Amino acid sequence: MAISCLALIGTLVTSCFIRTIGIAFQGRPRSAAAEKAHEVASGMRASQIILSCACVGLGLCAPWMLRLESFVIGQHFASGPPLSSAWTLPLGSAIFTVLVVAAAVTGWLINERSFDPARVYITWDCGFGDVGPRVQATSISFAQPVVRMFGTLFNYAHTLRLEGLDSRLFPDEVLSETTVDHPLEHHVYGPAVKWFDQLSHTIMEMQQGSIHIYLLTMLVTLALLLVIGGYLQ
Amino acid sequence: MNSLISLAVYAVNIVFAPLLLIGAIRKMKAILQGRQGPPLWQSFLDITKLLHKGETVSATAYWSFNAAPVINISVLTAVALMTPWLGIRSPIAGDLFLFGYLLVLAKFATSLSALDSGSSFGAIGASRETAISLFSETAMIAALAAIALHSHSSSFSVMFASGHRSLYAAALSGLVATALWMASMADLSRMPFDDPTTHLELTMIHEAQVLENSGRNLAIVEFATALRTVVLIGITARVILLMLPPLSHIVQYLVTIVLLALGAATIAVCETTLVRLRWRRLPNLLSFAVSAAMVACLVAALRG
Amino acid sequence: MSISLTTEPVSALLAILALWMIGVTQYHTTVVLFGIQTTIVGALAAWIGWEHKEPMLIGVGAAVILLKGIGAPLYLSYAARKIGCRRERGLAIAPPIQLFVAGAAIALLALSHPFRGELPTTAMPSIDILFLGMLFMVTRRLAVSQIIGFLVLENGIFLFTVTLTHPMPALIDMGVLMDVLAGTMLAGMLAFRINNAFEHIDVAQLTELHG
Repeated sequence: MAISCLALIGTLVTSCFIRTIGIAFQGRPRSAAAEKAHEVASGMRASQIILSCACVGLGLCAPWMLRLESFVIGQHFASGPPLSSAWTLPLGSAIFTVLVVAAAVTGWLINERSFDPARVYITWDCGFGDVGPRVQATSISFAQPVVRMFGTLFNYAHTLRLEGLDSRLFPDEVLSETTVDHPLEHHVYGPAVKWFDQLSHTIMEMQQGSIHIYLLTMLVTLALLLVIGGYLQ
Repeated sequence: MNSLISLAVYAVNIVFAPLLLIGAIRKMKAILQGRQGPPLWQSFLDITKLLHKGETVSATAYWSFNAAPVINISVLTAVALMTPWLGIRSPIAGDLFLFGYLLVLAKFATSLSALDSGSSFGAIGASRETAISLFSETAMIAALAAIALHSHSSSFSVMFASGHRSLYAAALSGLVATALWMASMADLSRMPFDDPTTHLELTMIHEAQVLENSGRNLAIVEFATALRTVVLIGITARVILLMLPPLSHIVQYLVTIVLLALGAATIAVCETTLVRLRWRRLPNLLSFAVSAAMVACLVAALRG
Repeated sequence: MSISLTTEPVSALLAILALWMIGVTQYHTTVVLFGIQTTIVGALAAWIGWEHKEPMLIGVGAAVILLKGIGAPLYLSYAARKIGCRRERGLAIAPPIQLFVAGAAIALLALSHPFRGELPTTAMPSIDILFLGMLFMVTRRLAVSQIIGFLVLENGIFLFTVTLTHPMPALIDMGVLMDVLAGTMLAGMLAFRINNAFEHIDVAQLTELHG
């Protein structure tokens, strides 16, 4: 059971990222602001690149990281966790193959393109006219097949109205509208964020520069720590 | 088995088997339809023709569009060298999760390239492909995980070490092979999930994603798809081989070739007789694969 | 071959057939699957009777095959043909989710192992068939589908009693079988009457009580 959940999670994560990267970076710009967007300074880019390389590195070198951690933890606690028995995937040869083939094919393609450059033309639109911002993929349109499968959860409703003389074949007006509820965002995250906001407002009022309030906070914290420390002993 | 011999055999088969299989499918389909059909090596000629053609790239496309075929072919070559799809031991040590996630990585690159050119057909294809892969990837990994649970290891060399050890293992392999076959047909966008020869973009799932590729890119993409086909059918054949008693390496290789040909025949029959299912009914059919895989996992986990 | 060596795989096969039934929407296919399942159950019962030298059990097994495995499906498909219903429409949860739920339910059941020491391992598939039959009844809207669900439930119970180490007297099995068949006949006739009165056999719409 856990393995099928693992597989499902992997696929869902991939779909999520395809959608995010797809609607953020790919296709035509979907609004006027997006059209005028430009790349940020190199410092900002460099920090993100460093972090993502660290992520990838951590994922690939996981066994070594675990060994290092178990060594560190073993020094502090008498019975360290048995992390050295973690699985090690045979990544080395696979990655090597991927990189070698990728480098070879890229090199060959670049060579070929220098002789015979690719022609730049419009996207295939099947005769329907320019593929403008309105027909680009959006997040809900990308997720629509899955949302419809789980339609009960999302209150998926689709209205279709065709008007005209011969409305089935040659309609004058077509209305196709999809409404979707976002239960997690509206009923779980929304109230939680609102509550957190109110809490932080209250705390902010408490920290408005009165020295007495600061001292009182310090006293209460010290008292709590003493009590908790006493219980832990 | 010597690693070098295995590497040589796999290398030769990676070059020739995928396109031969596609050619065999086309030929069998033609015979079933009463035509003579193209020769078996027609796919090689097609790829050669595509390599000589010029490329047209969409103005909206970014570097990820050109990177996708490269990522596809390199990842799939690694997968092909890693999985024992020829019935003999693979040259590189393979792992179940590496196999699953590399296939997902290839699909990731293809979907991004589909969204890249901004065409709505690509977007529809990518969204449908992700919806189907929710089921087909789960079924594939769960089905192979059942065998992994049975042999207590996720490494391919241990999982497919020998033939059946008991009637129970043979029955488990049968269930796993069924789930794997259905999931592979969905993953490869074959009938009854998608018609690979359709020209109607609104019904395409895989073809819509590679619609914008032309010339050399298209040659690479077609070869990668053929390689994926042969690897997935091959791994199903390997699972079926688990039902038979242990055989020598050469016999296993020959039996796998026969099973690959049988697989091609089954695909040809499916594409001639079956009709593409309505999009809304696809998850219904795929969920059979997922439940079969989950039941196999459960049985393997309980019985050990 | 000893009994436990055959009953386990066969029971597992029956549970898989029941799971298959849950994902199918065409009514005729469910009837055929049910027929196959009942025939195998009857054959298993007859074979166990042969091994245990109990002629009564062989008789029960033969009766199950003839009446419930062949007779009931024929009657039900005749009823469905007369009524004119061919496939399930408007299921609240789509078949894929049904299958997920069914798989999850079986998994949870297997993992919780309620009566671990007292029952043989062949009890697990029969309890699975029981639950799958109930799930079938709960999720379907056609009245004839509910009959099939009930019959699958009874298959599960029958399999359970037959594969126990100290099996129930065959007389009780026979009695239960007769009751179930009588119930099926009555339910089939009721389905006709419902169809005549309301022009449909959608139980989701039969929620109001009239005087």
